[in-house]
Amino acid sequence: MSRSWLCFGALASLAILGPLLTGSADPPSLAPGAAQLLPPGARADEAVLEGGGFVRAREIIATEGGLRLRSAQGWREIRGVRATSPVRSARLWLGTDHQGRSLIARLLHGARTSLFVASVATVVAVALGTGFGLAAAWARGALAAGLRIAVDGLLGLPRLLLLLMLGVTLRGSTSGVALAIGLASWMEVSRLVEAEARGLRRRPFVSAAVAAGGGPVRMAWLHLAPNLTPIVSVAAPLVATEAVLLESTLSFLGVAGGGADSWGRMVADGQRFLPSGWWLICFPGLLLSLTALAVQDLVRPRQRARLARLD
Amino acid sequence: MRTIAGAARRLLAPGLTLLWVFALCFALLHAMPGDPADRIDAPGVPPDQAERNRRALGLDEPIPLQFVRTVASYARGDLGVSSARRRPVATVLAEALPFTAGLGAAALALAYGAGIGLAMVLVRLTPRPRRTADRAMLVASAVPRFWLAVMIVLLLHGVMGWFPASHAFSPGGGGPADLLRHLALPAISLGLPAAFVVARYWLAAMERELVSPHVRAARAAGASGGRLIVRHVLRPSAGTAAALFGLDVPVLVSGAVVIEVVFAWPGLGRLTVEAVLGADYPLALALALLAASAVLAGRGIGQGLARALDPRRADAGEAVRE
Repeated sequence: MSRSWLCFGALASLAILGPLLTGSADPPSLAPGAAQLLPPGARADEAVLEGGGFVRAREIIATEGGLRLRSAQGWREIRGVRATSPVRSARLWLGTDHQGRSLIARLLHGARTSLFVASVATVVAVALGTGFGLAAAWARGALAAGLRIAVDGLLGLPRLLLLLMLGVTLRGSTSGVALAIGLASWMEVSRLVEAEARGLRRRPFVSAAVAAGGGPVRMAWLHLAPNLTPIVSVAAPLVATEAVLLESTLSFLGVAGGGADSWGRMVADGQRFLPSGWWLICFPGLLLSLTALAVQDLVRPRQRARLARLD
Repeated sequence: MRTIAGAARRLLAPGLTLLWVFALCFALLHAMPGDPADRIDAPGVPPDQAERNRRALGLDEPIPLQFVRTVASYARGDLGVSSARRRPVATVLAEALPFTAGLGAAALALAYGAGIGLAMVLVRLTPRPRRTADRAMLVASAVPRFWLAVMIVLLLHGVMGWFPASHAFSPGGGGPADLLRHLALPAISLGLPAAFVVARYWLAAMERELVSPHVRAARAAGASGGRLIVRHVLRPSAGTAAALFGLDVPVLVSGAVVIEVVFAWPGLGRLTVEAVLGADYPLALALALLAASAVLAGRGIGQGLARALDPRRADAGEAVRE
């Protein structure tokens, strides 16, 4: 396997295993003011409280009646709380956000969102696109013209506009957004499949199968679909790349990602803390670009050349 | 007779496409949760008031009837009244259009100016650095637009303090110079990724020309350096590359939406997000139709340009994707 698969595999395993290592979700600190915006590499004290809850600050000292926290504004005291275990010190490699949450933990959760949305959207787009492309390749006359106009119209509408409407309709949940992106990205797959299937249709083995009495469904399933695998395996990574970028754009615009961690949402939230809180937008964006590239690279060079010929 | 039929057929497909886009947007907008009547006096509209608003806006009628009414009023040239702004849609669009057109023109100028310039520099390099640069541009074009915009704000506004980062004018108004200063960052954010894409298309087209017999002939005749590139390589590759102009338009339209939101630029893109999220049906419909027309027109212009620049390939527009 090539370097791009390694890169993609590393990302996928981080997304799946990472949240297990960092805990189910890094909770907001109960005293966010004390932990506010720790820069990358900062050390912080952490304490888990009895009865739930969590405190993170530059320094924590357990006292008789509660906890003393040191923050940029000086010392402050929280009374009536007890830590379940001794205060521990941790290094936060990528710093924290404005609620005292570790950025690494949030980024790993974001990887989950991003890869989940990309895979669901790609499956939806490939299934719809292949089906529609096959139908369009088989259709003749007015039906073919109608199908062409249907795809043309969808391609003519800027994808982001289509997605804004679909995203709002599907209520902006993570799976809703994944479905919306799939529903907005199948047209390119359909175009590629249609072109390929039209070419296949003229080949002797297909004519022979038609002459032997094969109906359209049997033709599509037994004779065309297996030969479409190469073109689909080129199209799928491209759809997935686009899906990664679209998901982050939608959550940046505030259409998607209600509650769920998403890199786009993190960049949008981080804007308020510029320029001092640079790490809040730099790291999510870097990871996002890296993911998009890793997914895009899954197209192998030979397939890329084939795609260039088709263009 | 045949030409009239041909022209009619050529216009029929885009017309049907636009009608289909219109119907699709209409259906999608009506499928969204909530409608304009809920938003007009929000928050806390008494139910009977919302019902009265709904009746006043004609939203209580069957949806097919509403669709026919809307198409009929478009046919009369009446775009309706924005339900959130309570002003004619045409007025709202006319106010925002110059800002988006200005932003788009600046970004296109940057994309083509910088992109073709970059391609001309790169095509004179040896293959290895050329391939590295091409790869770097591919990587750069995979960077999400909104992040690039935020990073440009961080660097050129936050750290360097050269340009303002939002709105089209300073508070209290300002002259054309003020507007241009505000235009700088959005135009760079929109134009820079497009410049890389343009540079890659033109570089590929020029590389193909570079090995063709007529370039070898020109070299043998003594042409070299910049003159060879401009006269013998750039000109013949223009046709191929221009056909791709049509592909840039949808990218720019989608990009403008994001960029205008980041920079609070008062154009059509930001209006689109507000209209869709605010369930402003009349405004959102008009914007969708406008965007689709721009994309179809861009496709047509690209194909026309390709034919005009390269008479060898009358069907250049068909040869490229889309």
